[in-house]
Amino acid sequence: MGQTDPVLRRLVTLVAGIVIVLTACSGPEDNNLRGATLEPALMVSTLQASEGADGTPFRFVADQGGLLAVYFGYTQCPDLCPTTMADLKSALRRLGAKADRIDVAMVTVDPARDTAAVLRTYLSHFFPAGQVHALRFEDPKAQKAVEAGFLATSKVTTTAGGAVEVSHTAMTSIVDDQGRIVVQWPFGTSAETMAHDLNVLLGRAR
Amino acid sequence: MTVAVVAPARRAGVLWWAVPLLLAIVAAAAIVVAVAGRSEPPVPAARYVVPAGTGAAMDRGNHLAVLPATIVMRQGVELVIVNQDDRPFDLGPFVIGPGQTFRRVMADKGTFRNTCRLAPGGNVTFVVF
Repeated sequence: MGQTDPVLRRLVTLVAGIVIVLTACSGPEDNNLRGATLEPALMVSTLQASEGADGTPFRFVADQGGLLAVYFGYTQCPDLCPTTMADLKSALRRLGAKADRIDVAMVTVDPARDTAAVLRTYLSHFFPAGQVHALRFEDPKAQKAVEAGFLATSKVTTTAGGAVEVSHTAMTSIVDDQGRIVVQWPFGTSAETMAHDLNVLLGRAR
Repeated sequence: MTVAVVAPARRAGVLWWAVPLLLAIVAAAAIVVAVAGRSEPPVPAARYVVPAGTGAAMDRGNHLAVLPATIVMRQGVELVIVNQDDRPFDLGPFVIGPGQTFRRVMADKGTFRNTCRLAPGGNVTFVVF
């Protein structure tokens, strides 16, 4: 009573080993990124911005083992920006606890109207405070330098009637903990695709 | 003598149900692994090269058609553009820098029109089916 047959024990051990090996050999079905990649990757780790009303320096590098989603936009954008932010929010939700390893940074291309407070309030509708960085530049040259680093552009013009028109690159860039842009998503990329790519990249960063 | 006869009978009884059970577990695990680990068959890439000197040639008025006006691709095919020139080129919202290789799997079906001066007329249309 209570003693296992030695042959049976060996058999169980053998089967357990086979199952473990087979499981370890089975990878996810699709480890390919669905967004766009560039090789060699763009490095943005040397670029700097300032965050919040006190202008805390911010570097475009993810935390160790994490990712940083960077988007250039503005709070009064009627379509592209809120759609992208909502898709990103949905993507992070799909990732569950893994989303804790991802930060979001939005750089306003309309700093005249997007004060630090306005930008922060806008982003709070999409992401928790600890996960999001509201970035703006007082110096237009510094803003253009950072945009150039991300291969992004923007232009703010005021019409004769006084209307402000903003055009900007509608691209989300994912930066890793080395400061490399590891994937880019154009506007219209689905939350599902974003979540897929983030999951793949987090798996690689483990 | 009695004990010696009973013990082998008990062991044989245990193994009679254990072996098929364990084999069934192994078979089930193998099936699960085979299904979960199945990967998509490799899909050939649509590859284009921007030769060195393309930008300079365009400056001289020679509009090289590095990309066709329309690229028809099967869903899941990877678009690869190798920029061997010393200048960046736009592909819709993307910028391919000098010496960079652009890759993107065309994951969605549809027709996508992008501005791109590497194509005739300054536009390239991707038809993904």
